[in-house]
Amino acid sequence: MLEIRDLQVRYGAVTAVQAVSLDVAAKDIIGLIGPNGAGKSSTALAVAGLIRPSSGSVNFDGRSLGSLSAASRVQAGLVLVPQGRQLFPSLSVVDNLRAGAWRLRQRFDRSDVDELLRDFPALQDRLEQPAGTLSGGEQQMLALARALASHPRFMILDEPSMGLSPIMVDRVAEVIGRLARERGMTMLVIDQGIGLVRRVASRVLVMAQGRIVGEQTARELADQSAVEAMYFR
Amino acid sequence: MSAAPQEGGSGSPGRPATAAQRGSATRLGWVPAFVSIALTLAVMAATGSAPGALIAGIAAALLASRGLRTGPRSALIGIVLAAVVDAPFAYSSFNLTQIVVLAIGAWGLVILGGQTGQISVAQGPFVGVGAYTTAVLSARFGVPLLATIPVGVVAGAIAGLLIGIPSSRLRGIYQVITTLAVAVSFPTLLLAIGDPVGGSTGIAVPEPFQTMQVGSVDLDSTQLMYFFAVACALVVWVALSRIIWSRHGTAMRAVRQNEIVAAVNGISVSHYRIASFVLSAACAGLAGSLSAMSVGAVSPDSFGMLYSIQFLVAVAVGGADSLMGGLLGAVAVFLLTTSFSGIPVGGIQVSNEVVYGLVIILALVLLKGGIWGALTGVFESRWLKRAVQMH
Amino acid sequence: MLLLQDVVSAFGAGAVYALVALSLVIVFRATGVINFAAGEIATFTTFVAWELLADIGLGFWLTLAIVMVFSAFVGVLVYVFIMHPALDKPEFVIVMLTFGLFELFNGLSNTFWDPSPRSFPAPVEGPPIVIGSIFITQESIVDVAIALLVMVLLMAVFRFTKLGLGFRATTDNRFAAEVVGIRPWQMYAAGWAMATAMGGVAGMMLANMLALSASMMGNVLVFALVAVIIGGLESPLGAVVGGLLIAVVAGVFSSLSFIGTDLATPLMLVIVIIVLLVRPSGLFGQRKAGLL
Repeated sequence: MLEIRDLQVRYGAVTAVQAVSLDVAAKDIIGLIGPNGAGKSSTALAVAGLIRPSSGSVNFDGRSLGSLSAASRVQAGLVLVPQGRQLFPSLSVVDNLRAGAWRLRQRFDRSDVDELLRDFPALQDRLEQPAGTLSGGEQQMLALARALASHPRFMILDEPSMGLSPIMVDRVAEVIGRLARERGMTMLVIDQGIGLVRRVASRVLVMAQGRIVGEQTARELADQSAVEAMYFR
Repeated sequence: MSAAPQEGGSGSPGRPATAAQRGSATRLGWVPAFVSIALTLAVMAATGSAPGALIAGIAAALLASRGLRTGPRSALIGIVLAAVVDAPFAYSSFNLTQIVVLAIGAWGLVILGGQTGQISVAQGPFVGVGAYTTAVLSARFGVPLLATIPVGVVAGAIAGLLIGIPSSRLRGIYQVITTLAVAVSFPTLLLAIGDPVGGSTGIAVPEPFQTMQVGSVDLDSTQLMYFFAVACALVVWVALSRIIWSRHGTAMRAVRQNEIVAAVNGISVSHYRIASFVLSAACAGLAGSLSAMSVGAVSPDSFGMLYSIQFLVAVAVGGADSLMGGLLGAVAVFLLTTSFSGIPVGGIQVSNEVVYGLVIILALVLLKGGIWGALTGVFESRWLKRAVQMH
Repeated sequence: MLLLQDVVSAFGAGAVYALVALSLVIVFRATGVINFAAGEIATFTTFVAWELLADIGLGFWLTLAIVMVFSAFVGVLVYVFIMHPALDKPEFVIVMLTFGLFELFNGLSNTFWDPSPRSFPAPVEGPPIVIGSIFITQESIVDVAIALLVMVLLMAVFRFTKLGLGFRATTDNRFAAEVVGIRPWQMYAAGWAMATAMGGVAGMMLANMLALSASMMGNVLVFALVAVIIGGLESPLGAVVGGLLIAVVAGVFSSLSFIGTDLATPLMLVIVIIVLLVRPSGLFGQRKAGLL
């Protein structure tokens, strides 16, 4: 569903992403891990259309995304759950969800809210609460729900486990799993460590210093030392 | 004589010359300027041809600086002075004096804005304070006009202190709005004071100079007024340049750049912010006195918000980071506001404010650092660059 | 009793200040810019309104509607062509741009119309209403009603429409808005459109109350700015309350014989300075850290 070829992202003189190529097949979940500064988030932002790559191509459903705007990509079914959640802190939970559905033609009403929050029971009691007052775990759930509101077919999750307790990470992993099973969602999950990714992804790519330096299937990930070796290459 | 730094008020001087080079350049550096002024005046007195005199002056500046090896800066100064001295024989001295008045007021904002990074819409009222001081003292108390000038400067400085103390504690948009309120209130305040300041009709100011004969040339009162104003402007230029290039200037630019870092380095932020208000208002006071003398009258409406905006536009369009920018901006503002009352477009007489507004917008959108910033940046002229940089 | 009359009479002016202050707040929330040209743009659109009313002879309400749409359009043009390209420039440049717009629109008014005062048709004719010993002109009732209607409309747009949601989201977290597929510049343009439309209404009301002239918005702008400062730059409620407060205080000051209309403005200024020194972010604004 998603094909990235030789993606390069530069910030002025600094090249954050060197020449990244990866594929994500439909209904698959691919993990992308790596240390700080490896270029993972830059890759995510470039795919989502929020920053412009200096070279390389991104194909979605066989069509080149080219210089399509982020808004158009959301319309096409590609959405990002950004690092640090990036909610609308003074808007209520409901309004955050409404904002997520902004690009949809159809009206967004109460039944849509209920449908969305099926997988996020904790949020159902907090509909009118400002998003900024939610706990870290609730915020992550809201970020996921907000992304779902646009009825995407492909989701990029950037560091969904950041700042969360192990229990919450479990819950997030659970939700990701359910999204894949029940809604057939295709996902690219980016994280620093393999804890979360290992549980949901079929394959994990390792990124360091702007490049993909290795790949492991879920089974091979059991062997920690191999992954560590790639981290510190 | 020196020009202020080019970039953002905090540019660093160019590579320092050796002491010997610096010494010789400074000592002789004034000579081309003197030579060029002298030759311009001489040719003017002898031939009565303004263009001829100008050419002679420019040539003298270039040749003298080349011959004495005093560098491009001294040549540039000579050229500028030749033009300044020659101008009253080719153009209306009255208009030129207004430009000088605008320039001095704009230089105040170069200090306030270019150096300490503050924005004040109150420059108009400060000029008004100087103008009214001169008017009241000379017309009501018979004080000789020239003597009212220092008083005007001091009055401006005091007004600057009074307004500056609260205003300098405000930042950004709050400072703009407060100083704008001062500008709007000033005419109303004058009207409220009423008769002692002439009420709504204002006060008439006596003629400052009588016609003089120099050689075969008659210098009338407007031309004498112009030369006097230029002399004052030169004094201001030198004084402000000294300040800009002193450690006080460095401190001010540090305050503009980053207040917290400046404070941490022992610079008293509030001290410099207030001081620059006072200095800026003192310049305005001088400009006001000169304005009253040359225009011959003061009235409340002349010194409100629109007048304040003229000074802001001068530094915005000409360049806030250097005195030269302020001068160019003053010329631009004068041309745009007073020199014509509208241009015909199609069948419609378009009011000059439209052009004024458009020029402001275009200059801000297209030019970085105003006209002077664009000239020194875009033209990439090594000669020009060396002329404006400090050794 | 005299005091009460002053308060009541001031409501008309207060409505005008409140509308202009509100338009300033919206533009500021959207693009971080104080639009010093707000008054002059409003004056220009009010001259256009005069053409529709006096020359072409359209009815008041139709003219009001047309002028609101026209003003919104002007606001979008100003944003797209001038403010949007300049948003990353230093604050001084942006402030000066609005001053440039001030001159531009003032000049446009002077170009196409005689700047001296002319009378502006009223929405209603009729004698003042008397309650006890208080006189209330019918015009001021209608003006206040229009202003209230506009404000309610604005609130409704913000709360209930998709556009309003998009605007609130974008001003809350611009990056997140982009993530979600909102185009921020569209929201900012809409903000400018709404603000300029409100200015257009305020202009018509002011022309009605005083007289239409090229300089009619001069003092209003200052009062609106003062209202915004007192109310807090980001608070729409603060702007409205501030506007009413300023009008009432100015009205009371004017009628007090030892102050009079002349000193009302300078007195306002002193009050503003005091407020700013005591509470730098206004009465309703949020505290921000800063050096004193």
